[in-house]
This record gives sequence, structure tokens and C-alpha cells, in this order.
Amino acid sequence: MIGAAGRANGAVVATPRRADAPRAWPWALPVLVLLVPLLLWPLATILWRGLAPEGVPDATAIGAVLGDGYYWERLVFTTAQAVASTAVALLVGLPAAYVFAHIRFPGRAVARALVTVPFVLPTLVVALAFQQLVGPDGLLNDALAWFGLGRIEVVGTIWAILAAHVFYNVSIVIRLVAGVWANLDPRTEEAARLLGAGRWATLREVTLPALAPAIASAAALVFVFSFTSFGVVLVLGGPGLDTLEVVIYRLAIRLVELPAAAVLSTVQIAATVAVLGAYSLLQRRTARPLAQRSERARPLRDTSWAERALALCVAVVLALLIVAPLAALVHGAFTVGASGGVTAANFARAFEDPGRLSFVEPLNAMRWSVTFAGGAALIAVVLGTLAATAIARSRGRLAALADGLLMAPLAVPAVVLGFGFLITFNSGLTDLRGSPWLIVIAHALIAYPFVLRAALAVLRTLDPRLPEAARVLGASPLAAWRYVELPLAWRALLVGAGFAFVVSLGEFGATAVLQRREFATLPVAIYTSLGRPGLANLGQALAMATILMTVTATALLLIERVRYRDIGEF
Amino acid sequence: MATLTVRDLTHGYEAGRRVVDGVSFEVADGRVAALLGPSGSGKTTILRAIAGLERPEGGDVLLDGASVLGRAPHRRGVGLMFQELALFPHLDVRANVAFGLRMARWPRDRRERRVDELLALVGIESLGERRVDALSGGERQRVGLARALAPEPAVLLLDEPLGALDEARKRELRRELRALLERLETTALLVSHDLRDAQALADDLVVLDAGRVLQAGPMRTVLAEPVSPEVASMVGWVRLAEGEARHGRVEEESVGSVAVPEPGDGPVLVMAHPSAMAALPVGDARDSGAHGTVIGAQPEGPLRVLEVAIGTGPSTRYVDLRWEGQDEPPLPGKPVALAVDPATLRYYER
Repeated sequence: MIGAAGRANGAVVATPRRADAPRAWPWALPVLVLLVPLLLWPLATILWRGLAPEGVPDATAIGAVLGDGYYWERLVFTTAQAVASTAVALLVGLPAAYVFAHIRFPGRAVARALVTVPFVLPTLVVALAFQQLVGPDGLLNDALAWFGLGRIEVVGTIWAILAAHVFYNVSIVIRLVAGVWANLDPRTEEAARLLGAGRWATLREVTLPALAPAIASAAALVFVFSFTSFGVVLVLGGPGLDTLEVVIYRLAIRLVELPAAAVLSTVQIAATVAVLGAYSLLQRRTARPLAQRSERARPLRDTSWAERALALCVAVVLALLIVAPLAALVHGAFTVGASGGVTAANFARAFEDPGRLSFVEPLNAMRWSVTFAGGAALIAVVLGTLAATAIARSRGRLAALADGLLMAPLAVPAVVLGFGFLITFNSGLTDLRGSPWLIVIAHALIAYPFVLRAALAVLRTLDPRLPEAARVLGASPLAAWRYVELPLAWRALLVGAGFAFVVSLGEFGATAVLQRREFATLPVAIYTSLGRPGLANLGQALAMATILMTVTATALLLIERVRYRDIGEF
Repeated sequence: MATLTVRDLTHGYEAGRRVVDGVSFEVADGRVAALLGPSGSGKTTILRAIAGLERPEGGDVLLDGASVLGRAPHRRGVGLMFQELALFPHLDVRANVAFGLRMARWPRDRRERRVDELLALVGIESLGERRVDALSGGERQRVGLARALAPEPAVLLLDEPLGALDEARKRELRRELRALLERLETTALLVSHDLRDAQALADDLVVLDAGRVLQAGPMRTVLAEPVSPEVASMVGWVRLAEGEARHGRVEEESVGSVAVPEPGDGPVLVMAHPSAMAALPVGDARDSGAHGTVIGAQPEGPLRVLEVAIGTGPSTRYVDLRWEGQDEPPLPGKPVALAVDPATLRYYER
């Protein structure tokens, strides 16, 4: 019975090895050739500095750090605030993800764009915004005073840090989870309902398990970002409230306790690598359902009453969380130093040469910021495209390995990266002390995973037959890439480049370690002004932060316009 | 135009056997051949190997007698229409069709003329500026065909060219494609699991199963004289009776007995083509001796077609037969006699 035999075999769709399949390694090689000296070498130097401060293996530095209650307290605080930040971000983000995925409400498009903004805002801008909102002279206290209530002190406590972290990371949760949620096949839930599951049982038994990988990846990312938080904690933290990243920064710029900084850096990297390793595994699990997203993704429903109430709650919470601090920042920029009125003087000052050698010149900082961002975005796009192509073209375990390896920069906290550069590229042929190149390279390394993720999301869903069709029509492998794969991926690359540019503009951790006054960036200028007494300096910092916020938010909204399909990754 | 020769092609390993296992056949210059086989029989793999998208582990692919195995896909001069079409989503219809011409560096004016010509050829002149995702299934099929034809390939490969269409559109496009292939005189090899498509489009038929060629030859020969019961059942024949031949008849329990022409005893299998059979009341003069059971009757019109089961148990086969009795056909569950012209039967020794 041939027919029957054929049908039985037909169950196994033959996918023989493709001899002419595009190869992955020529794409991965250039990236790895750069990553080894620029990433692994500094990390090895850090490790060596911690293990053998004097050039011979020696455990005293490790012992000194691990035996010191001061460092333990910082480690516990770092972990605890990261756990708390993650929990609150999920608590706020999950209902919001539901609302964005399923409920039609007025202003939805605006709200969607709005929640994506915080993610790319520079940390210093966010820190300043919260300071202006909940700080001693912030809007909140003004409001309390107006109602005749007592003042509250939030800055210098964990609450301010937590609020800022949630501000940041809610967008990650919404982005990752809403993308998957909106694309869940509604028929599985309908089937569960017909089989007798109630609303909650359906959520528990069908929906949450399907969302679990997305939720877990979001949690992993939020944890790592909060764990390695620097700018926010530097400005909003109080005595004793330092993350490891801040401790490392202090140790590193004082340059006296390098072994201790090295040991702490190692501890921090071990933690981020562990969490991101888990994230990467989960990411691969979520990538599959996304690739085969159902065509009949559920339409936005006109909603029940309870859902409208939920949407309203979410809108109010998000507005308070996202709009209030940013409004406070702008308010501060226009009012600080104006003794009750409104002034543009702070903005005038933001373009003025202070005329003092020890000051950062704002215009110069803006020029350098844009230069660094442009250079970093360019390098990041090249590296990200190569790496994404390599990952997309490898299969199975190799793909997982390539993904992990090529995403490695994401696991290296910014201050640690800067610190590694500082103690590695300081002698011989690679003496780059005081070179602006170090900052460009650091920014490119920090930003390139964004390009990689954006490009990979598109390349993974690309039909492999398209380049094959091009080949049969006479295109060489390179021509097939140039005329088919690249045109299909360019939007994603543009999105990635935009992200890279914005990330570089706001980067503060690595820059803070590597900067010199001659090529300080805008965030450095803001921090410097903040550190000086007087309302004039505060006003100038607020004005610069407002400018930076406007530039990054505008850039992000432009990116959102380019992005034509909502891609769930990042 | 060229003659395509596939020689001892061997490739892949899946589910305990070779996906393509020593396949040889030839498509003469200007002829259209069809590879017919169930899914998993290795059809698509053969096409991909000819196009250069797979490097076969053994065997050879020749165009006009010269091996093309060493040539990359873009240097083979072979056109392929993918089953899923794989139209470039970022290009409009014209640009899709022009892609191969651009790769071959045709000058712009010649290219434009050629695209116009092809769009007219497949009947979509008005759709040139359309985005490919705004096309209907039939239109997409036409774009895929025009794109594959544009660079004037020496051999045109078509993977399930009518695969994704509904029945009505399939009929229409089948007819058009046949006319087109005849007009172009292109050497073409198409792959299908549907006998009707193969029959309508091709001059030659290659019957494939489990990675091997079971029979190859002119369409008419293969359809009329299948060399084995396997091929026979793949080209539409059904088993009438199977058993030991004795005294000029073979008997299968639950079917009855059928005459065999040669008096020799031994196991034999008798196959019949439904187009040469009819259903009659039991005991009719034309009763062949074999019987079936009525399953259903359709439609309730002047001409009755009965769905008849032959045999019982797992070896039951089902055929649609014209009712040629005078009276109303028997109700479901009742027996009918099978009328069949002995000259149209095929006998296989087992």
C-alpha cells in the first residue's frame, strides 16, 4: 500500500542538510576578532588584578573584600533593591501589558509611544527628574505644603531608587510581555473556556504558562539593569545606599584600591552572566512562538466595564509614574533660580562657556556627545549586523553558543567596562589613556546588543527560501544578501542604529570612568554641574537634562515610526 | 533549451532511509515531465538538487550532457518556481519579475520590454505596480511563474505549481499553464502529488516513491501500462482481486472471482481502472464475478454514481462507479456486481 506508506513518511518532513546553506562563521569571525581584545582582554585584566594584585597569585584582595562587612552590606543592598525593583516593575507592568495587548481605549497610540520613552532616557536625566519630583524641594513636597501637609523625605532612601527603577523598567515588561500576549492564539483560551475553565483558571492554566518565558525574560533583564544601576543610585542614593557599580566607580576613580574594585567587578559580572545566561535560554524559547505568530492574532476588543476600569487605572498609574517626573524636570528647568517665576536663564546658561578651566563647557559636551553617539552607532550597526547574521545562520546548540558569546557585552556593567579599559589600555602599543576613542569603543560595545536584537528578530523570521529564490535567479551569495536580506532587514537595522545612538547619548557609567574634561559628554556635564553648589548650577544641570531628554525622546519616537511591525524582543 | 539528465542521484537520510535513493531519469529538450509521488517521496529534494540548492551526496545532474554539479545555483541557468513561491515582499510585481534580469545585467530598456512581455504572457499586465502581498493566490502563482521564466532558463523547475489554489482556480490555471508550456517549448520538470495536475501538464511521467523511481516514460504509457501494482495504484488503478489463480480464475474471499487469461496457477493480482468499470445488479449478464458493497449513492439525478467498497477489513478499497442497472440502485449495505471489460484489466504475478 504505497499510499499509506507515503503518508506515514510524509509525517517526517525531509529537511536534509543543506550543502549550499549560507555559512555562519565568516560573519561571526570579525565580531569575535574585535570582542576578544576589546572585551575579554579587559575582563581578564580585571580578573588578574583581583587574583594577583602584585603579579603573583594572592588571595589577600579577595579575602579583604569578602571579609569586609562594608562590601557585604553593599552586595546585599544591591541584590535586595534589584529584587524589589523587579517585583514592582512586574506588578505594574503585567496589568499594563494586558491592557496594551487587548483593550481598545482612547489615546492608546499615544500611551504606547509614551511607555517606550523611559527605557532610553539617560539615567542622569531620570535621576534628576525624580529629584525634582520627590526631592526636598520637589513638586511633591510643594503639593503637600499647598495642602497644608508635612514634608516627606524620599531622596536618600530606597524609595526614590525603587521609583526610578520601576519608571525605567516598566517599559521592558510591557514591551516583552504585551508583544507575546497580543499574539497568543485566542483559540487556545477559548478552548479552555469551553472545556469548563473559568476566567481565572484559564489565566492560570493556559495564559500564564504561555507567557511565562516572556515574563521570565523580562524579569531577568529588569533584575540585571537594576542590579548594575549606576546613575540613578549615584544621584538618588543616600549614605549606605550604594550599588556595587557605584562602589566600583568610587574605588576606580580614586585609583588606589584597584584590587578591591577588581574583585567587586568580578562578583558583579558573575551575577549578571548567571542571570543573563538564564535569560538567553528563555529568550530562545520565546523566539519560536514569535516566529510562528498566529495570523489571527486577537483583535482589540471593545471592552467590558471592568476592563475599562482597569485600563483607566493603568493609564493613571503610568501617567503618574512616567509623566510626573518628566514634567517635574521641565518645571525645574524653567523655574529653578527664578524665585517664583519662570525663566529661560537656565537654558541660556546651558549654551554658555563658563569661562573657567575647571568647568565643562556645555556646547563642547554636546558636540562630543553627538560625535560619540554617531561613531558608536556606526560601529554598533556593523558589528550588530554581522553578529545577527551569524546567529541567524547557525543552528541548534551552535546558535545558542553564538548567541551567548555575541551578546556577552550585555552582561558587562558599564562602570566595570570602563574600569577594565582604564587598567588595560594604559601602556605600550595600546596606551590609550586620555583618548576619546576608548569612549567610542565602550559605547559601541554597550549599544551593539540592541542592534543585534533588532536585526536578529527580523532575520529569524525571514523565509530562507527568499535568498534561495534569489540564488536561482542568478544572484551570487553576496548579491542575495545585498538585494534580498538587507532590504528586508534595513528597517530593523535603522531601529537598532537609532537605539544605539540614543543609548550612547545617555551613557554615563563607562563615560564617567573614562572621561576627561576636554571631551566630557552631556551626562558628564550634567553630573559636574549637579556637584557644584548654587541654584545656578542646579538650573544649568536641569536645563541640560531637559535638552537631553527632549533629544532622546524625540529620537525614540522617530524610531517607533520606522519600526513597522511590533517586534517583541527588547 | 536543453536536455536535463539526472543520474543515480542520492541524497539525505531521514527516518531510516535515503530521501533520494539512486534516482535516474531524463527530460528531453522541449518536453515537460512530471515527478509524481506522495509527500516525503523526495520530489522537492530532487528539484533542489537540480537547482543547486542542495549538493547531492551521490550521482550527477547534466544539462545537454555536461555535468552542472560544480556550478553554483546562480550559474546554472535553471529556473525554479518554489511551492511557496517565495516572492520578494519588499519588491513590487515588476521588480520581482525583473530580479533575474537585473542579476544578469540586462540593459534597462530590454529588461522593461521583457517584463512587459512576461506580464502579458501570464495575464497580469495590469498588476505590475502592485505589492506582492496585495495579490490573490492565483495572481501570486502567475508572478512566481513569470519571475522564474524571465531570465530564459534552460530548464524550468516547478514545485507543486498549482499547490495552494482552490479547485476552481486550479482548473483554470492548469489549462493556462499547459498552453503556456506548449507555446514556450521550454524543457520543464514539475513536481506534484496530484495525478490530475501531472496528467494535464506533462508529456512524460516519473513515478517516485520512498526516494526511488518506480517507473518513467511517456505519460500515456505509464498510465495505461503501469509496470507494478504500486505504480498502478499511484496512477489511479484499484485492486480488483488477489489470490491463487486456479482453473483460469482468481478468487478473493469477500470479493468473488475474476477470470485470468493465462491458465497457469499461482498467486496473482488483478487491477482495474475505475474509468473502465461500472456497477450492475448482482446476476447481470455483464457480472465479472467480482462484487462490491454500496456505501452511498450520488447524486439523485439521471446519472447515478455509487460509492462502492471492494473487499473487507483493512484491505478495503473504495471506488466511485457509474450505476448501469435499469432499476433504482441498491441501498447502502447491499451488494453490487462489478462490470469490467477483461481487456482493460492488468494482471500482476505476486
